[in-house]
Amino acid sequence: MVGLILEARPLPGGVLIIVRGEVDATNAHQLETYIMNNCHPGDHVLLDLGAMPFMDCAGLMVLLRLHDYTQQHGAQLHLASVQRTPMRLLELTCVHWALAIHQQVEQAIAAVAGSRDHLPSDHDGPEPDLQSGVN
Amino acid sequence: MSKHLLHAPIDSDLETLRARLRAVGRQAGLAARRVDDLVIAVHEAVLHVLDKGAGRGSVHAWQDHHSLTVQVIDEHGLPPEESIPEQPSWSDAHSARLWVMRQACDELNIDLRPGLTLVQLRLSLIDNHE
Repeated sequence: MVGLILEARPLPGGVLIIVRGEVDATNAHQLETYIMNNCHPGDHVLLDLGAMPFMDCAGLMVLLRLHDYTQQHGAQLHLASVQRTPMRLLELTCVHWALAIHQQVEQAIAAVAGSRDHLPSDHDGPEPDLQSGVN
Repeated sequence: MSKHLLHAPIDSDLETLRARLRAVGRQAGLAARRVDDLVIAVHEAVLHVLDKGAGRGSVHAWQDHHSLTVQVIDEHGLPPEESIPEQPSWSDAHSARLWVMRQACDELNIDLRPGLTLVQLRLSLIDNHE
């Protein structure tokens, strides 16, 4: 299994998940389980993918399920700092048209804050803190 | 005249294989975007061997003036009904995988032989700009 380091930080109305390492069929389930364990229905989910140099179809299917899950609960999945090879997979499959993709994490956080004004969540927490859980 | 670039057994160390494929793509002169295509497509082909095939096989790559060709040999063989889908199915990992392989390379052939399957992927070195 490829090494994967995951970290979750609360955001107002959502959660920021930082992904470090390559995501493929050997560890995609680990990513999905971690995300689902760290978000509530109605949370916006922001994935910082700046340290994820590779993602395969299994990882892509995790993103698609997560996209469906957040939308079903009135929220949205945001991707930030997507690296070149994972972005190429998103382009090849045309999935990039369906997802909210931001160049920088800061832009994604601002987008989540903006959508929070329109889509209030039941789980709006305090302002972001830097406490994090490391998997 | 073709130039041999890679011969690697298929095992569970996919990260190392991807790094070697990236080096092969650069050595063959592929543009960065096409190196990504190569890594994406061959990774999925190898996963197919590990997932649905014998779990044993090898990867070979060579280039000529026009193309980089990668052959993924599965020592088991795909079931006959396995065909390259025309549309992606995101509820079926194997179907999605075959579809992505087809999208990422210029030519994909699956040659089913008794006890052996050859998956051959070709990327053009001619129309190779970013």
